[in-house]
Amino acid sequence: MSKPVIKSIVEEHPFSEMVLFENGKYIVFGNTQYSDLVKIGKCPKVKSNSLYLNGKIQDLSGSGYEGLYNQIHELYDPSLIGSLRIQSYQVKFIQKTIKIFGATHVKFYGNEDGIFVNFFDVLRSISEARMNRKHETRLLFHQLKNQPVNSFEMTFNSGSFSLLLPKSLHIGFGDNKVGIFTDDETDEVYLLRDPEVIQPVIHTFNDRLGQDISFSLPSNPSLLNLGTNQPENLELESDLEDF
Amino acid sequence: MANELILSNNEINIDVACEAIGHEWKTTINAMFNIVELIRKVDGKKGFRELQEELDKRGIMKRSVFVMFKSIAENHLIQTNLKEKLPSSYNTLYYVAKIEDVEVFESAIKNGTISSDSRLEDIKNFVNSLYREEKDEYGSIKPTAKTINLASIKVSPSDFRKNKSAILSYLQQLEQLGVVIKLGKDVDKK
Repeated sequence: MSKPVIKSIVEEHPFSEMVLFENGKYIVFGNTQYSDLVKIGKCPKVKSNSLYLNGKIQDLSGSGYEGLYNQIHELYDPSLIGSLRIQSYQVKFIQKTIKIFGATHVKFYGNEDGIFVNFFDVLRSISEARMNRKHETRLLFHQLKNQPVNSFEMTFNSGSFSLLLPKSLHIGFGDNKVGIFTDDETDEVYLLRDPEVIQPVIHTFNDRLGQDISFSLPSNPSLLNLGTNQPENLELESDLEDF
Repeated sequence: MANELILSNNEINIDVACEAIGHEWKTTINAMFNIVELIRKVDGKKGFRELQEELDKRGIMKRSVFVMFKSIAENHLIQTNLKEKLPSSYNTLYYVAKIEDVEVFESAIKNGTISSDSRLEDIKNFVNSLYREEKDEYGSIKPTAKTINLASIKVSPSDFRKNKSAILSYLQQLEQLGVVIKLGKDVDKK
């Protein structure tokens, strides 16, 4: 009875090489390209524990299943630094924008002005990765909510974000740098790890000036040597004669 | 005898029954808001997911009901001091909780769209109309790349002539970093 269910779950997740079945739940681990992604779903018909690698059952001892499951459970039940509920059309919008904009990453952040999502191509901030000199360092931002929230931020790989089903989702931003995307209807959960890449542009709105202000991070560390008199470390600032 | 629920002739004492049931009903509404407050206290804390699973496992609260209470708790516009003005069933309140805009929420209470008598279907229709508006807005957005101006510098012609080679050299370095430089029409690069 459970074999066809297992087969269909494995086949439904082509982005994964490994699927764990434990205690009526399945856990799908993203392959090398999506190594930041884990999906958890329910399969009450599958009673026995098992691990599948590339569609083939693996030999794992009894406690091994539980240990692996517990590690994942630990990941998806952290303290949250922020949370957000987005509608299916907002998920679709983000996924469409990722495609059009060619964003490698999306950054979610919240502050007293609301909750935002930024789209950017991190490769544009790496000088070695530039295809031509006229490449712009660019950023697209979009406001998702206008209610003030406590400050938080988290970045996700666009590729993994694009694998989410376009449904109404609750997003929890864990203090363990894991984003927890829950479909409350089905109780399916996607975990997306923050790869902690640095957004190449810092963008803010200045109330006093009434202007958007952007700072572009140097893609090349040699910018520090443009005669801006920046010391390598603080000790250089003081001299023995100062004391 | 006048305070008995059932009178001696086996009839219901309507006043007493109304008061007694009304009192208990208020207790039910209070209990609902107390649960909302309790969930609010634990929401976002480590172990919240485990709590949800345990409540279900122990037969205290089904996952679907917990999710509804969680949604209500997440909306901070829903406060206990408004309980007289809000629907008294958690199913209906769950849909009220989907209204996040302060102005929309307040005006809906003011004009009676949301009230203690609101029916589930009416609130559902109201919320769906709000979603439709937002969905249409999203449908009309065409995501396009926007170039952000990082800086704009004005230099007097005499200063430019004096420092021409240094300025052009810096601009060239910026271009090498991928910054798009747009020079004014009157700038003579030669």
